Amino acid sequence: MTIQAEGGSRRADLGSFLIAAALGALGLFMLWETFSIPVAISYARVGPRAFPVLVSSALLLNALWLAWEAWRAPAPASAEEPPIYWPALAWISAGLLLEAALLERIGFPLSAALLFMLTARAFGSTAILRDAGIGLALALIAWFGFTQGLGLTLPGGPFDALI
Amino acid sequence: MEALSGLAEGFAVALAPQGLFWAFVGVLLGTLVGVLPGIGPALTVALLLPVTLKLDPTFAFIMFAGIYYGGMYGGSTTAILLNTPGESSSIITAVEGNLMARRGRGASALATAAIGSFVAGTLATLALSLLAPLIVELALIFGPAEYFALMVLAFTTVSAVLGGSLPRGLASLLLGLALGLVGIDLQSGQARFTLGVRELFGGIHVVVMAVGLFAVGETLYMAARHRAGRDEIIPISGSIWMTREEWARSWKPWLRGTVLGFPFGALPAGGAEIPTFLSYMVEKRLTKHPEEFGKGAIEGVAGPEAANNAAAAGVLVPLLTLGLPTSATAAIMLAAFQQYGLQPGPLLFTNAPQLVWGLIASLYVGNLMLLVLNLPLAGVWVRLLAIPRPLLYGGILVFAGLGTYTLNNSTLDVVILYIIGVVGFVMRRFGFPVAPAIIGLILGPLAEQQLRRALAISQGDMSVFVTHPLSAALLALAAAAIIGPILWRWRNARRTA
Repeated sequence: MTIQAEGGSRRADLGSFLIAAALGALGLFMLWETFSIPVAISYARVGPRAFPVLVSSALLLNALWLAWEAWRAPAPASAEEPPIYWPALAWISAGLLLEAALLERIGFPLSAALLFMLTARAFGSTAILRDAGIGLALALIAWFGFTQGLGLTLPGGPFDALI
Repeated sequence: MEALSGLAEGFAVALAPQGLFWAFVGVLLGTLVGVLPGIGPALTVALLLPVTLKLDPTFAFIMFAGIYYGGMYGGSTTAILLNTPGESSSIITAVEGNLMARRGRGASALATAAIGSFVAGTLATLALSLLAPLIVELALIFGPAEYFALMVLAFTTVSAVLGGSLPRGLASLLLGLALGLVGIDLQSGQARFTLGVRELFGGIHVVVMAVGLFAVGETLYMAARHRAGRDEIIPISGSIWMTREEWARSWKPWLRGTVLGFPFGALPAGGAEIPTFLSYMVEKRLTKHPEEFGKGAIEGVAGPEAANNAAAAGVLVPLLTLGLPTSATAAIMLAAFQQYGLQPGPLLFTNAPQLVWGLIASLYVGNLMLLVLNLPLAGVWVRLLAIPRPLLYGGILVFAGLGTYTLNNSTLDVVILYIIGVVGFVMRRFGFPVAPAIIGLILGPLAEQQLRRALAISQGDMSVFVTHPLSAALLALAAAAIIGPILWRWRNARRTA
């Protein structure tokens, strides 16, 4: 192995280690939670705990395996990845979390149009007005079609007054 | 013969105006999402689940099957002209197909892919029609222990086949199994892993999981690459009518691809990746034009494309006869069955013959529609590739939010969608496959049910799984899928050392 490849894989290894650690923590947490599930006497043998114990133990073992793999060999896919462009992730995160926060206040069409604009921004679009227009049109069509055509309930916000 | 009478009944459903209509909607949508990078059939069926609740299940499944097959056709168009495989099963197609397109033979590549898909899809659907009733009879002797063992086998093979390495596949599967445990345990009525949140009592819906991993995860992944590797669409050139020589070079790879693809799909060995790869290797070895491989050989498109369509039909065998999904789309179709209160498995063929056979018959119809839709109209679909990325992904997320919210009218689901999306992003970035997570989520609760049933019958005696010969054999295969590769690598390591 060349020195260059070593350098490239080190960073990927750190990521894999962190993932292994997270999965191990999840396994431990699940084991802990499992033993707080109340069990009736009649279920003592194959109750609601058996399968969770199986899954969480497997998670723990697999986390060790992953950690071992990360230590032994470089990660297969991440080596060719370009560095993460964080602003894009921030734009999209804001879009989705804002939609969750605003959907029932300002309605689906407006919150979805906002999500559309922020996602387009994340992909490098700077035509804010165009994105707003297309996003709102798309969201309105979807909202109208789904509520009127398919009978789903979807808050319209200010647009509720129109129908 | 049972298959023939079943098929006759099925065609009566599929060829009725409504059947044709929903099959057409399905293949149209399927081709659309197959062509568009970033969305595939699994995501589309997931997004349509809440919408189709009021539709007759027979027609809903005819549409879903159309989407499933259509996605396979559309995916190859993108692979050939854009060199970004829309589906993991068209990775191989992207290699030779894109090279063909670059050499001005894009139309021939599209033609051999579409006709090969049609040939393979039709033959594999025929195999499905004949095989399904036989498996159903076999499945009737399965008890809970055998079902549990079968599910364990599906878990291990799916994890072993997909993704960068076995522990990565297993990590994805276990994550799905863990999330599948969240909610009220149906047998004891106890809440598990809900952290006291009421909204989680019903569990994490497979739609939220699939949309989070596929739509949100994929969008985050693509956005984070930030213009790395810009796409180049190659215009279609040449005639879509293949020359005599191209036909002569295509028909054998089509048939060989079918023979390779169908069994891989039908066995719980998960997905179309392996058979497409095998088909490529076989064609490369058998070709009379080895010099063209690596420069755009038509055999390298014809074989793998046939293999992936045949595998797609094969996947429906365990899904319909055993209720065993081995791909992400199949897992979501299983969720669709559950939504309608149906349980796929041997009883489905006696309880809902109209639905099962209508679905199978519509696959023949859908294949024909897809050939017509894709061959002369390829140029129309290609225009979709010109949609700017910002608008495409904006649209994907709008529908992702819509589909998720309308499940329970809960904004908490949108937050969960985002969290799962971030997890999907990390998985994608570090080479973890996402399909095992979805299969684990949907199949986990069923596996637990069978486990507890088996142990209830045996009064807690764990040995049932090894004293029943069938279950012991299945578990041995499952163990081999995990231990085999480790031993193999260990042996190779010793040899080279």
